[in-house]
Amino acid sequence: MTEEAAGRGTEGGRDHLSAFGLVAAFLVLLLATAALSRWHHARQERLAAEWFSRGEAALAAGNASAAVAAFESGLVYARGDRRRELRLADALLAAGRDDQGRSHLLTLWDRQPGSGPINAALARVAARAGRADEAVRYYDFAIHGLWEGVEPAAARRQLRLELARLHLANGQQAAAEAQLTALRADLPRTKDAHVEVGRLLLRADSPRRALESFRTALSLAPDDPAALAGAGEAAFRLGEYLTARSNLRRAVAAGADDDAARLLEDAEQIVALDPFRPRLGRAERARRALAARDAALARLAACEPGPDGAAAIERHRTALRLLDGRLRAAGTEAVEAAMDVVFRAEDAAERACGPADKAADRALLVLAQRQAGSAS
Amino acid sequence: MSAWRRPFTAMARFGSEEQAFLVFAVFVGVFSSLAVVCFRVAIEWSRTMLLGTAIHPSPARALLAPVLAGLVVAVLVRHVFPLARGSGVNQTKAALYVYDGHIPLSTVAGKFITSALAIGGGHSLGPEDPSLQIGAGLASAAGRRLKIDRDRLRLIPPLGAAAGLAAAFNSPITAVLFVIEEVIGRWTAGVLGALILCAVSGVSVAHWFLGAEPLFRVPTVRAVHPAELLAYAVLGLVGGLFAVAFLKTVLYLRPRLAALPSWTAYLQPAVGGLLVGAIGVQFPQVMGVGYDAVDEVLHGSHTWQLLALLATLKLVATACSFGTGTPGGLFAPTLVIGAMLGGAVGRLQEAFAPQLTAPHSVYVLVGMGTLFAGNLRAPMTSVFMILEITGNYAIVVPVMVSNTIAYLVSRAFQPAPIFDVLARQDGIELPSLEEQREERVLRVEDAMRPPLDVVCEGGESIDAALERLEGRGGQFLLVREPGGLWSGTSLRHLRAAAEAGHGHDAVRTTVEAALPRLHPDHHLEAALRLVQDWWPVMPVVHRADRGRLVGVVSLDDVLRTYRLRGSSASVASEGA
Repeated sequence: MTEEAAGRGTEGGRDHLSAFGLVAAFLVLLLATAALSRWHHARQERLAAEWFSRGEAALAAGNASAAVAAFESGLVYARGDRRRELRLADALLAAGRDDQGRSHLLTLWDRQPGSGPINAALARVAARAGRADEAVRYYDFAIHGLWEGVEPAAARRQLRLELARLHLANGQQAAAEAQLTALRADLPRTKDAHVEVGRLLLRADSPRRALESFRTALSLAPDDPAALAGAGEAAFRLGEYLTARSNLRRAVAAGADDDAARLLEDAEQIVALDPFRPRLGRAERARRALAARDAALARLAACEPGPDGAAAIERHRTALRLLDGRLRAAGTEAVEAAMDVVFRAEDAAERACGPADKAADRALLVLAQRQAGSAS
Repeated sequence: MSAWRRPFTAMARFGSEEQAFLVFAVFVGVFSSLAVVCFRVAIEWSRTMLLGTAIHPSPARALLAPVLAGLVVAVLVRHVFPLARGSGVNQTKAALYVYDGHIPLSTVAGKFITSALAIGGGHSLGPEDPSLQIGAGLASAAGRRLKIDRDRLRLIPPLGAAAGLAAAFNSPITAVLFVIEEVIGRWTAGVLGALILCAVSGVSVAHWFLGAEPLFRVPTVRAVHPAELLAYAVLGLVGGLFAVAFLKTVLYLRPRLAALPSWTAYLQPAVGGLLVGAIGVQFPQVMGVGYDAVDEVLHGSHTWQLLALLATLKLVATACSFGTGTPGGLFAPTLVIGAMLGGAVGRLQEAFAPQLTAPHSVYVLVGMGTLFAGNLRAPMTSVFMILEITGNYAIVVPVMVSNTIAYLVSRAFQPAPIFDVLARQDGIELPSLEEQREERVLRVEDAMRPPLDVVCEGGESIDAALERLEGRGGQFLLVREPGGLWSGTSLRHLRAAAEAGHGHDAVRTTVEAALPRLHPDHHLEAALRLVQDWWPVMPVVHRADRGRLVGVVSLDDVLRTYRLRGSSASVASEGA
C-alpha cells in the first residue's frame, strides 16, 4: 500500500467515524430530550395541580380574586387544559370580571362549540348582562350539548330551570311553559323539584300543570306546607275554590307563610260570598248577594276619595242602597243584576282608594273578574 | 475522494444529491429542534427557579432575579462564550455570508445557557432568535461532520435556523418566511423545499415533546366594518412610530454602552436587569418573554391608558435588556409591545366608535404584526405570522393595512434595518437584504436606443446595405428574416462580398451570427453578456411581435447606463 493510499484510508476512516459520531450525538440528544420532556411534563402537571388546588380552596372560601390569580398561575403549566381554563373563567365570573370571563369562554367555545359547560357559562354571563337573545341561544346549545364528568341529566334540568326563569323575567310565559313542561317529564322524584317547577308554572300562567306538579309533590310529602300552598294557589287560580280552601287550610296548619294565609281568607270569602255557585237555593243566593252588598257598602264607607272621585263613590253607594230584601223574592237574573252593582262599586273603590284590605272585598273582585271572563 | 469517504456523497448514492440534501434537511430539522425543545424546557425551569412558579413574581424576586441572572450571564459572556451576545439573527447571517456557514458549537452552547438564564431570570427578551441561532449552529456542525461541499454548507445554517424558529414559535410558515426574508434574502426552489421540510420537522418535534398548544389562546376574531380600516391605519402609524422609537433607542444605547470601560461589561446586564426588575415590581407583565401578558391582554379588560403604558414600559425594558448585551431575542418583545399597543388603539376605538369596532383582541393581534413589520422589517412574515397564529383569514386586510403603514413609517425614519445596523456596530458589513429587495433593477429598456439605420431585411442586396451602412458611418448591421429571426453582419464582410462581385446577392449570405433576442424588460446583465459574447449591437424586440424592433443596445449603451446609475447611487449615499 502506498503512503498516499494509506493517508486516504486514514482520512476515510475519520470521516466514517465522524458520521457515526453525528448519528450517536443525534441519538443521545433524542434520548435526553425524551427524558427531559417527560420530567418537564410531570413537573408542569404537579405545579398546575398545586396552583389549581390553591385556587379551588380560595374559591370555596369565597375569595374569587385569589382564585383567579391561582388559576392563572396554574394555567401557565397546563396550557390547553380546557377543564382548567373553564375553572379560570368560572372564577373570573365569580370575581365579577364578566368581560374577561366571557372572553375566555368564547375562546374555549371556538374550540368546543358543543360543550355543555362552556355554553352554560356563556348563557349565564349573557343573562347577567341582560343579553336575553344571546343567553337563550347559549342555553339551548348547553341543554343539547355534551356533558363530560358530570351527571348530564341534572345539568340539563338545572339549565331548563334557569332558562324558564329567564323567559319569565322577559315576560315570555309560553316559552317558559314549554321548558317547564319538558322539564317535568325528566324531574327526579323529589318533593322540592316538583314544588319548584310548580311555582314556576304558576308564574308561567299554567295553573293546571302547576297543580299536577304540586300533587306529585304531595304524593311524595303529603304534609309539605309549600306543596300544599302551591296546590291551593293553583286550584284558586283554576276557580276550584273548595279544593283551594282545603289545601290552603292544611298548608296554614302545617306552617305555610302569610301569603297562603291571606289566600286562604280570600278562598274562604269566595266560598262564602259567591251567589253563582251551583246547587244553591234562591234564598241562599239572595242572602249571599245581600252580604256582598253589605261588604261593598262597608268598603265604600271606608273609602275616602279625592274631590274627583267623591261623586262617583256616592253614586255607587246610592245604587247599593237600592238593593234590599226584595232580592229574596227575586229570581237569578235579579241576583246577577245586583251582583253587577256590587262588582262595579268594588271596582270603583279599588280605583279610588287602592287595593282592598279585607278578604271579602278581594273575594268580590276575584268573583267580578271571573264573571267578566265567563260573560265574555 | 471516494463516495464512502464523504458521508453526504455516500447518502447521494441512493438518489440524486438534491434528494440526499432533502433527507439531510429533515435530519437537520429534527436535530436542531430537539435542542430547541431542551432550550424551551431550560427557560421554563430557570424561570420557575428564579422568578417563582406564580404567573407574576413577588417584588423581591422581580428585583433580584434579573440582577443575578445579569451578573452570571455577564461573566459567562466575557470569559466563556464571547460570541453568545445579542439576538442570534445577525450572527446567523454572518455565518452565512462571512464564515462559509460555520457557527462554532461553543456559541451554540453559550447561547443556550446564557439566553435560558437571562430570559428565565426576567430580562425582557425572547427565545425565538436564540433558537434560530441554536438550530443554525447545530445544523452547521452536522453539515461540517458530513463534509458537505462549501456551497451547500452555506445553506445549512438557514435550514437549522428555520427548524429552530419553527420549534420555538410553533409556526412553520412564519419560520420559513422569516428565514427567507431576513437570513437568505431570496427564493430558490431547492432551498425552499429544504426549508419547508426543516420547519415542518421542527414543529413536529416540538409538538411531539412539548404538545401542540398554540402560544396564545386566540379568541374569535372578526372584522366589523370597512370604515374600521381607518383605525388600523392609525394603528399602523402609531406602530411605525413606536418601532422607530424602539430601534433608535436600542441603536443609540448599544454602542454607547459598549464604549464604556471594559469592567462595566460585568455590570451592564445586571444594571439592565435591575431596571427591568424595578419596572416589573409594579408591572410584572414586562418581564421575561411576555406571552402570558399577551394572553392576558387578549382576554382582559385593561384600559387604553394602562395598555399604552405597558407598551412603553416593555419597550424600555427590552431596550435595557438588549442594549446591555444580554443574550436573547427581539422577536417576542416585539410581539408583546405590539399586542399592548394594538390593545390600546382598540380600546380607544371602542370608546369613540363602538358600533364600528371589532373585539379589541383583533387589534391586539394586528398590533403584534404591525410592530413586527416596523421593528424587524419582515413585512411578508409579519402578515403570514398573524394569519398562522389566528388561523383566521378575516383578519388579513387589517393586518396588511396596518403592517404596510408601520413598515413604511419605520423605513422613512430608520432607513437601515435593525439587524444590519447591529451587525455594523459589531464590525461586520452584512448585505442588507431589505436594500437588495428594494434596489432598482436596471433593465434593457434603461439602456436601449432607437434602431435608426442599423437594420435591413435579409433579402436586401449587399450593395444597398453597404451603401446605407457606409452612409451612416457604422460598422455593424442587424439583419431581419421572416418569422422574427435576427442575425448580424459587419461592414468588413459586406465590403468583402461586394469586392468579390456578389453585390447583387442578398445580405443574408453575409451574416456572421444568428442572434438571440432581447426584450425591454430583460435585466441589463443579460444584455451585457450578449453584447460581449455574441454581437456588438443586439436587437431589442417586442415580446408579442418578434419581428418588431423596439430598440438596439450596444456595449457602450450598457456601460453608460451602469456609469449613470453608479454616479446617482454615490450622490444618494453621500446625501445619506
